[in-house]
Amino acid sequence: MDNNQIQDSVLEKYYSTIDAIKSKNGKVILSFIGNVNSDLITSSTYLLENYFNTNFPFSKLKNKIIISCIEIIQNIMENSPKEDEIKQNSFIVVGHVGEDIILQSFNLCEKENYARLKEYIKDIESKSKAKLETLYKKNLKDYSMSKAKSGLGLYTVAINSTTKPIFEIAAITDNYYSVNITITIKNE
Amino acid sequence: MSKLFIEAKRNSPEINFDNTSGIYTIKGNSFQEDSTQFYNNILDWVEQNSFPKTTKFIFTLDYISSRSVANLYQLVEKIAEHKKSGGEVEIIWEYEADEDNILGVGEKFQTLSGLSFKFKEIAPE
Repeated sequence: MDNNQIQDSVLEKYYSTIDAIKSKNGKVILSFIGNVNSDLITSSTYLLENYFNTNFPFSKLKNKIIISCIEIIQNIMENSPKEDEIKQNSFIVVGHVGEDIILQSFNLCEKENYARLKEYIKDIESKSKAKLETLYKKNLKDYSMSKAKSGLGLYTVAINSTTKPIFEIAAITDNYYSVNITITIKNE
Repeated sequence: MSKLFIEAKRNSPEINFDNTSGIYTIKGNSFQEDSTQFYNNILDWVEQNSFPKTTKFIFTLDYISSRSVANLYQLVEKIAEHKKSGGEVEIIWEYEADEDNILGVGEKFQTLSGLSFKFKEIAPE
């Protein structure tokens, strides 16, 4: 698969994600495809804050969604390849379906990062929320001593998700893997 | 230099540290890309300007990324060191009623550091 084919396939995935929300009579609150960077975090928080202040005033949902969105964007920024033309194959979609808010992200990661990411995700998938909370605290303490990577981002996302987060990693070329994360947060 | 003031941005908090009054406040969002650098500058200032004996820390955070949580915890450990060496420490952790996440971060800091936090619920802005 060359770069153009990768772009086409990511675009197709992006639109099918949006269509899936609309087909359930849902609303797309936020959607972005392209080079995900820190400016997107700032603009997303404004947009989401306005949406939740209007539609869910006094709900605990707003903070969970905004924090999860920040973590997901930072995860994309951290794990995407450095080359601009590859990095731009990333997207994030936030949808509102019934009482559920669904956050979905897509990015590419390099083959050399695959094993580390797969291990991290496997670890998250195998643990209950209570265990993730314990691990979060342990990593926080370890980080303060070693200043190594904190690795708290996806723990935060998994803890905030009402249902088990869905992580899909698949090889798309010899050099790149696609990383697809879906979390659902219910208005409880 | 007895004071450190950093203006708030949309993605980084206002820092107002005053060694003369012994009052240290952190207020706002913290999801900046260069979070480690941001908090390292604060930690460097703390290293160079020791806390006075009596101190009061007020945290009023809104949206905070996990990276900032990890960086901020290093400051909490500095506060714990100050207490261990005989300093008087009061920590007020403010949170909005509808924000479990911020309260949860403060509770984790309290458990891990062994410091006593006063949790104060504030009205949403």
